[in-house]
Amino acid sequence: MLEIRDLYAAVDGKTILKGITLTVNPGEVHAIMGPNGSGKSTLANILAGREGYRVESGSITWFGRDLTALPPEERAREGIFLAFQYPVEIPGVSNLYFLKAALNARRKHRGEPELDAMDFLALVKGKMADVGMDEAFLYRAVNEGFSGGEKKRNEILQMAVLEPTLAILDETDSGLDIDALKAVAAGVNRLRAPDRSIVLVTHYQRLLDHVVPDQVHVLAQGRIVKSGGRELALELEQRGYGWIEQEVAHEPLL
Amino acid sequence: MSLSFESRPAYLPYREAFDQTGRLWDDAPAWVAARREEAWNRFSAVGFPSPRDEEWKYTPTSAIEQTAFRPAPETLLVLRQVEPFIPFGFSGPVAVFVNGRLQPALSRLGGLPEGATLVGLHSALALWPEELEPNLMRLAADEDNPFAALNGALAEDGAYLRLRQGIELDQPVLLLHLTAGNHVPVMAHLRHLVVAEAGSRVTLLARQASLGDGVHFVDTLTEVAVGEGAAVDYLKLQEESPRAYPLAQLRARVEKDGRFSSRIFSFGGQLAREDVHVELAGSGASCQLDGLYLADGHQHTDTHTRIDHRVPATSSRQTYKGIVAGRARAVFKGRVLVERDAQQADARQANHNLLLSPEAEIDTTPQLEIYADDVKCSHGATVGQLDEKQVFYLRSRGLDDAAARAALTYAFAAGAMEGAIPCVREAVAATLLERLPGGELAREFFHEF
Ligand SMILES: Nc1ncnc2c1ncn2[C@@H]1O[C@H](COP(=O)(O)OP(=O)(O)O)[C@@H](O)[C@H]1O
Ligand SMILES: [Mg+2]
Repeated sequence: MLEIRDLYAAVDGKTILKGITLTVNPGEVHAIMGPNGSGKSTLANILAGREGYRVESGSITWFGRDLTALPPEERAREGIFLAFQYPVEIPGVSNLYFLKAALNARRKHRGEPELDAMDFLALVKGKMADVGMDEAFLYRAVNEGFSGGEKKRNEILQMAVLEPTLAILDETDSGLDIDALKAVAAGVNRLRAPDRSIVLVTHYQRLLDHVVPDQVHVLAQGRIVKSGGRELALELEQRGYGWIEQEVAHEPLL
Repeated sequence: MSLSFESRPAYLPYREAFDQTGRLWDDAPAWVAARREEAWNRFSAVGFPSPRDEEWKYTPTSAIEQTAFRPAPETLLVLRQVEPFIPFGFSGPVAVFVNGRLQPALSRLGGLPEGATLVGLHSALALWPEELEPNLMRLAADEDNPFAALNGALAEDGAYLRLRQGIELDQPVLLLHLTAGNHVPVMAHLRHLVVAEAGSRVTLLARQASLGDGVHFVDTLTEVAVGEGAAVDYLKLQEESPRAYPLAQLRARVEKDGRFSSRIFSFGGQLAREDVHVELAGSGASCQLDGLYLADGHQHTDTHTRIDHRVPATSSRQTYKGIVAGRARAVFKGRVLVERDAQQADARQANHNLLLSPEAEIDTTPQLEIYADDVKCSHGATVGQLDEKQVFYLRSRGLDDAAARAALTYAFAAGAMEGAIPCVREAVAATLLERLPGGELAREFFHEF
């Protein structure tokens, strides 16, 4: 459903992604690993449609359509969800209203009836219980004053409410204690379905202990330099990224 | 070299208005006539402010001078026309003014507890002239604002609210002023007096709006005497039509351990100006002046505050927010004066502005004048745009760009409503959603649950 072909992309005029090719089929879980600065967040943001992130060449298609032509909100309504590495605080906008507006935008897009306040409350409270979030967070401003872990849980809550077709998690597991990590993993596993796919950007094998990926890719210097099964993640855990970067250094760059 | 006001075309209509208004005060004590005369003389000596006047250099009042305003005719409204302006759930006393005159039939003046009085100025002067004499047109007598003089000369009516020692009103008091008339430009001048004696407490809600979209010049002056240990909270919602000229002055004097707060929501008018001047006259006196102004299209909105710390151990807080869109312009000038004897003064001022378009303009000037040496004073002003990271976050969850911006704009404004009494918050929110750029889109984020 998602096809990335030979993608070159720039951030603020600087080319970061240098020829990425990746296919994600329905039901698959892909892990993307790689050293800091290798372009993982850039790829995630390109998929979400962030301004300032520009495709220079190559293509991204979503169910056969050119994804890059869609503004970010349309991508979201189409079922693409990015859990941000650094979720933004939005003072003055309550989590509750925000989530409801987001869900109803998606439902409307799909021709489904919008949920009223009561139905939405019932739904979101159920999801909060799943994620292990106190209901008090509903009435707080989006991410405002949340701890790092609470922000990540809030991303997972949004994901659970919106039920995306493609969820991209950008280091959602970083900096979490074990309980929070398990909550994130459980949220991802609950989302798994034959028609849904998940891309996990992560540094650590430990998330992959709970969410077993179908494929693992290593990103270095803006390219996928190695792909494999879950054993690749274990190998990276033991050996670090150095050996891969050395392998790449010996290959001719385009 | 500019001509004296007496020789300018605007002089005659204002002189006529002064004479005509004089008849309304025929029954008032002689000192009222003398003060009106004095005010008229002051106004006619200076006329409308000149752009060279530092206090008025950003506020182009020439359009007011050049419009042939007539005193607004006496207009009778029915309750149905007034009701939409009474906040939902509000059941306290109400004084309704239409075109500058009290409308007793539309008002709810009675029902206040013993020791609290709400009446029209004319009745008050007939009943208790000696009680009004020390305050009426005295608290603001030293204002060098030409419109203070004009108001003194042309005011037709107003409210008198008085609380005897220790009287606490749980319910807020509403002063509503509506200006009607669509055909010719009309003006209305209104003057309120609030006297809160020692230890009393009251919340005052002032609301002013236009019926129809005529060109009105509405000039309001409110004098407030806050006695020892008394507390007066003043909330105002100005939602005149975008063609109106609402100019307002609020002047408060706060005695020992007294507390005064104002929170002014200024949304309407092609040229709107709020002058707030508080004198902290007794030790332990404090004030909190907050507000939110909104200007869009070709609106110009102006806020001038002035706080005089006159004696030791006084404190003041100010938080004003502004949203400026379209080709609108906003001015904020916050002056804090700490006199030589006012040791341990504690003054803080903040002014935060959101600029929504490249053509919008904001001038913000804090002005601290400190003559004491043991003081704590701070001020900060910001002018910024919407945070694009926040816009993207909302869009990445499916909200379209316009809705995301509307929600963030409303969220910025909403901070100014925090802590206000619920029925006021509701009324302000409704007006905001109507008037904010994209407000309709923000509705679902803030109203429903
Ligand atoms: N706004 C930006 N302007 C310029 N360079 C950027 C910007 N954002 C990220 N980069 C650079 O892009 C590269 C990839 O960053 P990023 O995608 O965040 O890496 P990762 O998520 O893998 O750690 C880094 O070298 C980073 O410094
Ligand atoms: Mg990153």
